[in-house]
Amino acid sequence: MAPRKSAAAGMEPKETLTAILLADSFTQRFLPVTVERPKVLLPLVNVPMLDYTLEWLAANEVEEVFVFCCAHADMIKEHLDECKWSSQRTFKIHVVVSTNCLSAGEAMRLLDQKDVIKSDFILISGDVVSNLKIATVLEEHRKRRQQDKNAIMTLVMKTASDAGHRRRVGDTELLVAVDSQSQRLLRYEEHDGTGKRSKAVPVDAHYFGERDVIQLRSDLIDCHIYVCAPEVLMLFSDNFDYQNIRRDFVIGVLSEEELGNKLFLHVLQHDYAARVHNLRSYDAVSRDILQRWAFPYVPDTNLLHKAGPWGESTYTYGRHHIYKERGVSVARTAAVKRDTAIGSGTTVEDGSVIDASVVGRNCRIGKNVRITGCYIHDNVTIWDGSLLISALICEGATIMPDVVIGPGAIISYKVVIGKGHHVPAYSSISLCRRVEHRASFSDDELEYAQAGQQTSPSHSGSESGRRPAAHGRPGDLPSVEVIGAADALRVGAIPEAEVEFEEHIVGRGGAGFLWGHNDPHDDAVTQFSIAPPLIASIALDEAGSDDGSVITVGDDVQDLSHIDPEVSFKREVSETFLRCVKMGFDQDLVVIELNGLKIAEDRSFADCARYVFTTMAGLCLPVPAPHSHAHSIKEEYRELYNDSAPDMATQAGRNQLLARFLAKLKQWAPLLQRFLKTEDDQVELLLTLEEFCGEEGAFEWSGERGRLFGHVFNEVCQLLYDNEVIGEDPFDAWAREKEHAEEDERVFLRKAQPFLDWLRTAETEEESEEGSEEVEKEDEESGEE
Amino acid sequence: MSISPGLLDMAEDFCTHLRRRQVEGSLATAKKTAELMRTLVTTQRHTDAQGLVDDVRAVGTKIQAAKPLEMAVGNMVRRTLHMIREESQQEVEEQQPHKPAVAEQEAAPGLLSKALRAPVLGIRNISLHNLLDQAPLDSAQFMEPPRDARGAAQLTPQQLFQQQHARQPIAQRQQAPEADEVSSINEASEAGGEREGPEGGRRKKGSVWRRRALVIEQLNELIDELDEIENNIAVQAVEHIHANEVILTFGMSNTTLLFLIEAAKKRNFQVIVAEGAPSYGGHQMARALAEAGVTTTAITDSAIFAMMARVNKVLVGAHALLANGGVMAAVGTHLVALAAKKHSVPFVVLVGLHKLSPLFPHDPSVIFNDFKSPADVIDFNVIAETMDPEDEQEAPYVHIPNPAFDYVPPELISLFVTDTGGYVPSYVYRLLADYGSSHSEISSGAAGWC
Repeated sequence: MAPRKSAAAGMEPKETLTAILLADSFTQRFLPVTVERPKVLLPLVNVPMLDYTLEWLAANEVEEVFVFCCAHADMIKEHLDECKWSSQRTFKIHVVVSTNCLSAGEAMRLLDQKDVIKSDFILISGDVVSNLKIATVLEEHRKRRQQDKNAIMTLVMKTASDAGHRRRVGDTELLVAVDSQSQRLLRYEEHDGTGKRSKAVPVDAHYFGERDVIQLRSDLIDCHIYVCAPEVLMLFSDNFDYQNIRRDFVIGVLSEEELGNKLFLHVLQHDYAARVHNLRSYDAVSRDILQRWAFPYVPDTNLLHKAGPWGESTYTYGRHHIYKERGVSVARTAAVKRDTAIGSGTTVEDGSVIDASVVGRNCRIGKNVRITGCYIHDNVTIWDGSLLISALICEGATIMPDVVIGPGAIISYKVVIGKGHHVPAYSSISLCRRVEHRASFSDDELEYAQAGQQTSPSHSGSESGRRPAAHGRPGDLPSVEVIGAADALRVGAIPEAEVEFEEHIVGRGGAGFLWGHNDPHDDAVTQFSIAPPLIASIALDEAGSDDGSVITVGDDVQDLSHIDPEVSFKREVSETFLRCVKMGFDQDLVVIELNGLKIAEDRSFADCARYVFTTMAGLCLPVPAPHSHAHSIKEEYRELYNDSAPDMATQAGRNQLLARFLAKLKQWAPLLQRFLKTEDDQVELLLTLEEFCGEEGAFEWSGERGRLFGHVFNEVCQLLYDNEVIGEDPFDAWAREKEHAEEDERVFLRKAQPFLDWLRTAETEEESEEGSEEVEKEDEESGEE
Repeated sequence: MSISPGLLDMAEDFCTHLRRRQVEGSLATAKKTAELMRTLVTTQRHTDAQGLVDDVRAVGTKIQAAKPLEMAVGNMVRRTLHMIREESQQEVEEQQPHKPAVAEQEAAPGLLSKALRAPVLGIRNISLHNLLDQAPLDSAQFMEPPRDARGAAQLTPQQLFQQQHARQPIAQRQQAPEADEVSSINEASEAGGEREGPEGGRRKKGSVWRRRALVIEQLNELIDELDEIENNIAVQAVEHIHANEVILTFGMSNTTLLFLIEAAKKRNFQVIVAEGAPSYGGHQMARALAEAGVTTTAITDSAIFAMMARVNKVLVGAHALLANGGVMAAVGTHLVALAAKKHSVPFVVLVGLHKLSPLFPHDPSVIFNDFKSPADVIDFNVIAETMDPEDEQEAPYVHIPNPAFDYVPPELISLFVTDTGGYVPSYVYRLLADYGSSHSEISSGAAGWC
């Protein structure tokens, strides 16, 4: 047809556009539903997820798709045949089956062995819903490839400016560093949400070797759409331990920068893209589709449902996002509220209310049923008076009258819930028996590492392959007897075979086994549940992430890290100084050491002097108390410190401290003098002393107890003057500077007032050729000692 | 005869493209539909018109269902049906001098119901006055597929036989300019027919309805016409735009753009372009106009009313022209029309007649709007967090509809400029009759012809 032709004519030397579709996500988030059916065939707004992805690929003029199946491969193949995907003329599908693949990495290696991919391809998982036009991304990718063969992959990401949004799709936190000009990805870091994350993000200085500006973004969501060069497959083969695309491949490539491979980023502005990787995102993406964000992938374009037992879909759109297929019967007194889709053949009887839910085809909903935020698949029967909130009800299940199903519950295939039973929140019920009980929601893709070489039987879940051998399979398919018994109970008959269902779980006359019950107070449970996240936890999350999400930094890297650069420099200086003290270096050597540091950190002489001075002063006191915000003094230097703190309340204590200080000062004054070359430097030192005594700035929380020196500030000034560390003029300049400061800034000025007054008189007396005062003072000082 | 798999594939492809929104715009859709119809008429070999009508209907229903909103599909299918019927009617007429149709009707066995339904059978030429009451008869006549009943099966060869005899003199008698064509075609098919033998072989696959070639001819004309339709509208520009006028237009419309550029060749005038949120086609329009050397001012939609006082004429494009003389046009057009009405500014709609649809805006089976993604209106991030609160009842909820179209009622429209000239809204019903959308087809549900 013409648009195809014209598009093809537009980029003539076009190679066949291929895609690899992973029809297995290698996770277990959808258990127990995925024991019986593959996840990609789960209906999302009444259409199997796989069809969204395939349709998207077809609409983007992909010509060849390799569908990689592992678990339930036969069902996926059947679906592809049934829905005419296999018989498309312009869109070739090759099904690649491997039942013992445990991860995406293995799938990629297998495809590399088959040697079918020759050109750039799209790598996507079978559960992505998007309306992105991939052509622009492809073009960018190809342009980059022409310039640089090493630009092997382009990742598509979408912005999510607030934490609530991320939480909405049950996504983990993601931090990426990007070159803002080339959009080259420099760093990719996922936080799984468990454990405390540090506020500080160290950024490698070498990023700035090639560029002036990088962006650190925490506002992106990975859409799991990758445009790859064929080299990507080779890389998977070369690194046989790569399992996960992001966790192993992306991070691996980024860490092996020296190999030259480069990854790039494409950030979506307008288009929609999301992956259904857990039940939380199942709910969120369904909602997005109903609210038309994924247009044209909305029910009423009838784009997706091609065939199957019910034929093409016939949805029409009504106000408030209500979609009904032809042949839906809703009683006059029943109400269908906003964001709802109802499949054909479904009847809703008197007094029932359906709100923000999806109901499949051929369902029967009795009288006075309330359904809110639920996902009900095909052929489900819900009898009168039941209440369902935010639950997933799989195909063929039957809910007897007056049942209450709490939020987050999963009722798997063909389960029968007995009359009047109450299904607690976040529990999952299946006809399959769980082989071994384990903490079900805690697992994650992280489990790869444990997944041994064990092969998974083709009939059980894909998900099973990944679990450690000790656990065995997650569950067996229900036996014929179990299904027979469930079917009998469904119609109220007595089952022929004696099957003991767990009555306390499914109620009297129910059929099913408890798969897992999860504590609603457990954050990990609610985070990935189909029920919406609790508002309280969202608020908490938002509070925690109130820092700007995009920080563009120029030359000043350190601003990024939450570590105060001053503090780190101070540590460097003090450690150098302590080392010198310990080793008993000659002062010339100390100068060389400190000079080296000064040049490396691009600091002034005064900066070095300040911290040398404070460290020196600190040596008069006991080892600084370790504090969360401060570096602790290394063990080897501890002995240099004094072992007791003088009692500052008494004159004797004060004198003791001053004596210690004088001893140190006498020793190191020449060093300080070498660094305090100018008057300004000396003023700087005074200001530092002030900070030190006030425990402000770099000394706040440092545990150095500079406050003790505050008591003898006047005397310390005197000593500094006497030992020719600081001259007259700097004192004068400091006093003048401080005179106009705020009241609380002048605390130390007042303390030093006696000394300053003396200095002034001494000055005048000096002019009158009288120096006795000074000598007298010195005698006084020594008398005090 | 069933539809060939190749054709079905083509139809299916076209449907997919429509659904995926890969074919956008009425003109492109109309052209594609017409081409598909031509392929259908060319490849499907039917012994009579009825078989062809059935196929056209079947395929037409299918593609219209793919995008009910794109009425150009239905319009083109209706035109095709109309052509086939006209030809078939002509064919029957040509037999008339030899055997009166009424007699034939009564004589035909097993056709009681048809007789009841057709109390009067006027053999008149199709005109605007009789078209509506004649239509049911037309379809009744076609509703006798040869394979339905034994009686009917006998009828067809009989008719054909008569036709065989009748044809030669008629061809000679024909005064119409296309007489040569017709006779040559007839000769061609005659040559084919004679090899089959006079009677028995008539129903074999090889013998094709003779007038099919004429239908194909007309379809070719239709496709050529579609290619030229925008130019045909544009050439009238100088009659509608006068010197130093201020024209207001809204959003992006190819037809309007060509129209204005054409006028600009001879006239000096100013154009004010409203941006047409949320698709902002107006930006593109303003740029294109400026490039063509037209004095252009771009304004926001909210400034339309204020600007209207200075405007001499409003020119807009439309998505569909409905049977009552109203139009469906880009969202926001109604607002422009109301502003124009308030200031007594003529509101002129430029519309090709391929957009002329026999549907009425109150038709319950058709949804006259397309709701697009809210992403055009608001950023997803802004709204995402309000979408999933715990308590549904007290949830802050923002509903963001993004309709693509507006319905503009006929009383707000001053004039239509079509490819065949200017018409007022009250004349639209007559245009409909001319373009073969008879009443029976209008009133029959969503698809409009089945």
